[in-house]
Order: sequence, then structure tokens, then C-alpha cells
Amino acid sequence: MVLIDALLALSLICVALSVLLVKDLYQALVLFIVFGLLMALVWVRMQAPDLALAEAAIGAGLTGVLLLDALGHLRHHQHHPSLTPRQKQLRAFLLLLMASTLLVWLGAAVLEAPSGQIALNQQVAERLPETGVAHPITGVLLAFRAYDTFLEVAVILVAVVVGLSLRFSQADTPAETQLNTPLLHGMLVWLLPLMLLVGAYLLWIGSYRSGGAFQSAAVLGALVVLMRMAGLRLPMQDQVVWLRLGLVSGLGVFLLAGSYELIRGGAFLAWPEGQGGAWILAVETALAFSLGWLLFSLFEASPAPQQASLTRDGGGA
Amino acid sequence: MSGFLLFALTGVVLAVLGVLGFIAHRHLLRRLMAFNLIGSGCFLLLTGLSQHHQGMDPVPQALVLTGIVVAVAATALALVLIRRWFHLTGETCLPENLAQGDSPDA
Repeated sequence: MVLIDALLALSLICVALSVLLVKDLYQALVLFIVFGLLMALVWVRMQAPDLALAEAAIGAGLTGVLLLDALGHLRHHQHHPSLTPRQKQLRAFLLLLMASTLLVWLGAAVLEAPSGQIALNQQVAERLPETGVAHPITGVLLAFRAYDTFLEVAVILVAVVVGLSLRFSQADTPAETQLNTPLLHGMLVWLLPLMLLVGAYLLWIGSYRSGGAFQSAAVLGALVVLMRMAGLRLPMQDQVVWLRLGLVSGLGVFLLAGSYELIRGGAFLAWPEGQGGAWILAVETALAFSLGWLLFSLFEASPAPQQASLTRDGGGA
Repeated sequence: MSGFLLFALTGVVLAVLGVLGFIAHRHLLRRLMAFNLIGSGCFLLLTGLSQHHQGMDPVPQALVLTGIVVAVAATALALVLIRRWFHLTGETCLPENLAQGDSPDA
């Protein structure tokens, strides 16, 4: 098994190197998606299936789509650096010096790091039954550290609002990201129900096994992105009210549910005693749909320059 | 050496590579990818180092899970800004990098 770990680590570093070194930007992007998939494998080896699920759906899937879509819109620019060879050598030397110093420093810090005094995993295991969920990661996300998760959703909402406001301030037609191929339409017939099912399953299973709102949201977000690319629109998509309601519903439900115990004299984001499981599931459901919608809006927010559809050749070499 | 420590060290290498790429490249998309490499390196370091000492630990895993989602939000926001910048100026680098010795339309 050590051999597999070593091979994975080595290939991760090699792919990362080629992402940085390869000349063609399109190739670099594809390699970056490969990097995301390798990361998902690494998370499996790190005994973190939740992270593997999220990385495969978000790191490899959604980020890849976002980057490729952006590349299609940025026409390729050939830059000719006018540095003299001597300057180039000096630059490369300085960069290598910096990198090796940083590498040795950080590596030594990792190797000499003292082991922590507090065993968080034992504390989580001891007090997990109080939360009403059986999966420790869901417990940490929505009970022990619910405040972090709450703020995280707020951060994503802010990112989407900034993206959308930049989008709307620009007077051009909606992004022409349609791919009108019969293959995509044919595949969607099979994929849509399956992805909905997987999304719901991941959400439900999160209370006792690997899965949860974030993984589910990633699948649901990818589903809407796929529909968008095929030119299908959700009926409520044209009404701004529904759009905004979908964006804030996750944070809103989280806030309201978190305040319930506060109003009754308890602490903010403390779930009512004995009913933690049900409350967490309710919040997670709202989060999954809202986060899926937020992730899709991040994709939709990308403004399209003129002649967007004419430059979808991947940037060229 | 345990697998966790190995991956923590891999995370160090990835983060250093990311910093290197972030400095060396001028194209904003490449910088964004380098930024994501730094992020992935940090995630590996965080989880690997913690689990090397204590075994499977849900707390760093939950932190990294939120981190992955925030990273994709940051990436998407950066892409919106890059595309806006490209739309306004027709450039894929920042102006200070252009002045540094790159001729824009050569």
C-alpha cells in the first residue's frame, strides 16, 4: 500500500509541474482537471471519502468547466517577453533559490512538528451521540463548528452577489454557452434523473455515512450547469425573485433554525435537545439546494464578451 | 514513514510549486491555477499532518471540505473579474506585468 501512496504522491507532483510548465494553455487546463481527479484519489487514501466526493465533483468537475468556459472566452494572446537571456537566467536562478529555501523550510517544519496536545478526534467521538447524527464530519460541520459552516455559506453568497453584480452591470446578451449537440441532449435524458437521485441520496446518507449537503450541492449544481449547456432552462430561472430566493434560502434557513434556540434562551446555532438530527437534516436540505444554486450562479455569473460563441475553439496554440 | 506524512510532504511540494508558478507566470488564468495548487497543497498539509499524529480526524476533514467549496467560489469570482478585465482592456495580464518588459501586441 505504501507503494500506491508513493506513486500517487509522485504523479500528483508531476502533474502539478506539467500544469505549470506546459506551453499550451488548453493543455494546462486539461492537466489541471487531471490533477483534481488525482487529488480525489489521494483523499480516498487519506481515509477521507467525503473529501474525495467533494473534490471529484467540485475540484475536477465544476472548476474544470469554469476554467474551460473562461478560456473559450479569452482569445489567445501571444506574448513575447523582451527580457534578455541574462535577465531570464537571473530570474530563473532567483526563483529556484526561493523555491528550494521554502521547500526545505516547510519540509523541516512538517517533519519536526510536535504532536498536538489535544486529540480532537477523540473529543468528537465522545460527544457525537449528543448531536443526533452518526457521521462525525456532518457532526463537526453542522453541530460542533456550525458557526464556521454558517459563515462559509455567507462567504459564497457574497462571492455570487459580487459576480452577479458585475454580470448585470455589463450590457451584453446572456452567456452563449450552449452546446447544441444531439449527444448532450441524449445523455441528459439518462443523466438528469440519475443525478437528482444521487444528489438526494448523498444528502440523506450524510447523517450516518460519507455524504452530506456539500457533496449533494456539488452534484445538483453540476446538474443545472449541464442543463444550461444543453440550452434547457428551468421555468423559474427567468424570474429574478425566485432566483434570489434560491440564493439566500440556504443561509436564511440556517439563520432561522440557528436562532430558534437563541430565542428560547439558549445559544446561537445550538439545536434543540434530543431533536438535533431532524434539525440538522432540515438545514442540510436547504443548504444542498441553495448551495447547488449558488454554485450554478457562479458559472452563470461569468460575463460573456462579444462574439462569445465564435471563440469556443479552446484558445488555440 | 506513514502515508499521511507522505501526503503532508506532497502538500508542501505542491504549495511551493504553486507559489513558484504564481510568481513566474503572467497570464491570469495560469496564476489562478497556481493559486489553486497552493490551496490543494495547504489542504493536504493540514489533513496529512493532523492525521499523522492522531489517526483519522474528522475536524480537519470538515475544515477542508468547507475549504474546497470556498476555493471554487474564489476561483469563480476570480474568473468573473479576469473576464471583466479582458472585456475592458483586451489583456490577460495585469498592467504592472505588461510594463515590466512584455510588449502587449508584439
